[in-house]
Amino acid sequence: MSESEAAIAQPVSTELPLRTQPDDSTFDIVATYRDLLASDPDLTKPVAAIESLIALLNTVPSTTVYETLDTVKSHSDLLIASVENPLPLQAGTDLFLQYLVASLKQQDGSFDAVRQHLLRNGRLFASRAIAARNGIAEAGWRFVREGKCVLTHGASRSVTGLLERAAKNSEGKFRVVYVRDEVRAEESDRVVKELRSKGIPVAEIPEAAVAHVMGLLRQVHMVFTGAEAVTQNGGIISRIGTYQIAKLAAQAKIPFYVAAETHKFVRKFPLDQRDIGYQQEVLDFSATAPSKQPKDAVDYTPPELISNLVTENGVHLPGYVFEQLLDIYGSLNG
Amino acid sequence: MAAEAGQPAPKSEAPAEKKDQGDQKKGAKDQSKAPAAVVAASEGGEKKLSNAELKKKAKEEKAARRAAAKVTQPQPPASAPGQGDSAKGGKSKPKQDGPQAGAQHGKTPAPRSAAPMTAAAPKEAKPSVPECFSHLAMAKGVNLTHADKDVHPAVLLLGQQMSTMAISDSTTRLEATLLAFKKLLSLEHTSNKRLQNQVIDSYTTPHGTTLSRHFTSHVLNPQIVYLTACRPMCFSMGNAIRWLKLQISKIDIDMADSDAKKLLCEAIDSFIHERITLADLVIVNTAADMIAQDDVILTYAHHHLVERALLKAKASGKRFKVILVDDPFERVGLDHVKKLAAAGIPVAYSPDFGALRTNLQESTTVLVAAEAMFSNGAMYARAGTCDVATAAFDLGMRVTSLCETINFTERVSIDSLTYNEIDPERNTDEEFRLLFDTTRDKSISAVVTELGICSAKSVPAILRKLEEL
Repeated sequence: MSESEAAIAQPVSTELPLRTQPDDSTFDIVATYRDLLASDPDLTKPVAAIESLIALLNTVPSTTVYETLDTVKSHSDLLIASVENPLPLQAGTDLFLQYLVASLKQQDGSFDAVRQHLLRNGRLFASRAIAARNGIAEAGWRFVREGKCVLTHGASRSVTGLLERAAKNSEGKFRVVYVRDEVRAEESDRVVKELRSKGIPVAEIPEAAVAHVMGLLRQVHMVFTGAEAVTQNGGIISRIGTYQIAKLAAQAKIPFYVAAETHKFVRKFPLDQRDIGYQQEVLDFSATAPSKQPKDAVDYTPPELISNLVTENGVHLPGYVFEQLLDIYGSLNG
Repeated sequence: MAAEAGQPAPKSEAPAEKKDQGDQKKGAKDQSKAPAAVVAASEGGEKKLSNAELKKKAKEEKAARRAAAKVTQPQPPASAPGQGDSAKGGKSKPKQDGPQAGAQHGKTPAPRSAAPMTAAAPKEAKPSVPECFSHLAMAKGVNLTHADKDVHPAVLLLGQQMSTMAISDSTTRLEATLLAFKKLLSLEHTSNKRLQNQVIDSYTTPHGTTLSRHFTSHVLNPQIVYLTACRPMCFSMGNAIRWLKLQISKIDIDMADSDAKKLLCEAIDSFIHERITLADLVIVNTAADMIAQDDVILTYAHHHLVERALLKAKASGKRFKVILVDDPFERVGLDHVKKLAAAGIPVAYSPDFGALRTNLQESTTVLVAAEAMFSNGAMYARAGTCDVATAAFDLGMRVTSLCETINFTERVSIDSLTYNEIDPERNTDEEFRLLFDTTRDKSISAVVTELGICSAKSVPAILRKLEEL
């Protein structure tokens, strides 16, 4: 890990406007984050980021409030700079910082109390995140009624959770069309196997068949997908391919539902595909070599294509995201 | 590339006029050429004059004005046919020739000089607005001699500026209004001493009542009535006045007058600072950040927020082009284009909507500013904005609108006729023009406010948030 750390920390620390260099150079936030993500398959990226920041607080000695906030900020920046797609992490780190500031205000600035509380409840955020996923399943499973057919893709744990919850109630009475991703055959196989093990009849189709399948009258009744991040206008940043499925669904007048936890809400307002928050090289023109595709590419699905967001707080219109963010942060300037 | 045609030629009148007033008006703003003349004339008397002499002088002046008005009365249609009816009482000479001359003939030589020509023939016929449009208001202007005697000179001046469109965009009007109201409360008596016999002095609460109960109904309301008569209030003014009245009503009745006034003045100052000055700064920075390298930005007519955002983006080293489509009825974009070109931004200028689609196809982003936002997400902006936004939306482009949250209103509008204003300069028997139009929320990609970027649909969420604050 040391060489990757050096590779990451070096260019990053030069360009970040750090007021003070963190004196706890021994703590490697990026490694912690990756370890957490690898060790616990239930962890989403924002929650893993929050957990790593709590682990950071564990290591730094109790200092003044501002120093700690500063440390948290600088490590958040480090962490965000270490990944390609910053939005999911930003959702987590922003939320944590806001939580810190808010609880400090409540406790009249008694920083130690907040810190102790955080450390004692180190897994608080993780357990809340799992609870949120169950909440989504509870809020959304009634969409999947008897005789319905759900189209989905990717490996969102919220979606599979929701489908499993629906299967508990009406086993074998609804069907799933799963859009396979041949680049990630292994992942697709895993998800399909998981669904079949719950007694859900699954039909696998290639990505190229989506429009055709949606055009088969009343064969697909709804689309469910997950999201990496939910942007403040109610759109989603999600696995590449989501946008085209959403467009096809809109064209076929099939409702498009997104299952996402509220901790994925992020203060980012993409205006279109050009604006997903980082540089993504999908176009690789070459006359000789085969084109390279970025790993974990994402696309942006605008809110107009989304029928409802299924969150742990219930089913909402895309406009809900903005209200929530405004409530949490007060203003939307990062 | 840059614009050249249609130079505002007759600007030369203005400076000359300014010069001979220059020594007289001290407190008055410099945009306020003509109305200032009236105020300044009354103000201009020597200090040494006694009250009685002053009174006499004022009477003489009034008589002179009336006489002058009689002489000029046949003329009004030549400059503004729409104002014929309101000018019955006679407009004073300087008012006729002041900003109107500058504003009308200066900015749009061609269409304006043509319109009055045709309208001049049926001169006496009062332009009538069809029944179905009778709810639409128009900036009429109120003759100074007809104004309520309680109207403060600063407000009188402002009303004239508004009715002549010397101050036209909503935020500037709001700021000027608040500053004028502040003068109502101002504590300086010294400079106003010589005005005491004809206009109200800065406010002192009468015995037996309190500021919080007396000020709004007896002092503030006449000012508002007068300003509304000059030109219908814009939404931001409505919002701010509601806020101001609330602040006044909150004042403790036991508080000393001077303390209360000071408190209110400070409140107004911080309101202007937070909701206008800072808000503008944040919006400009956000909008400048949104401009990407090599963007081609299409913008419509002129708004100071758009101008500042473009200049700011340029100053931060971004390389981009601008296509400016001007308002064909009021070429406010000409000066704008020159400023942009002077800053080194390549600008293409289009005087009207001809080739709008072609221009849009060459650009990547549309950047406009809103006059107000309705709570259903509709944008109220200069007439023509809707055309640009709809065409851009049709081509799948981004349409970004800039707007301070003070301009957000809880009202709802789905068409351009429920709320609008008639252009006072283009209102004849045959036709009239509207000043604004309404753009539906679906053709707006993003609204940039001081609270951040939001979608047009999120306007009610922001309004709710503002209520909490």
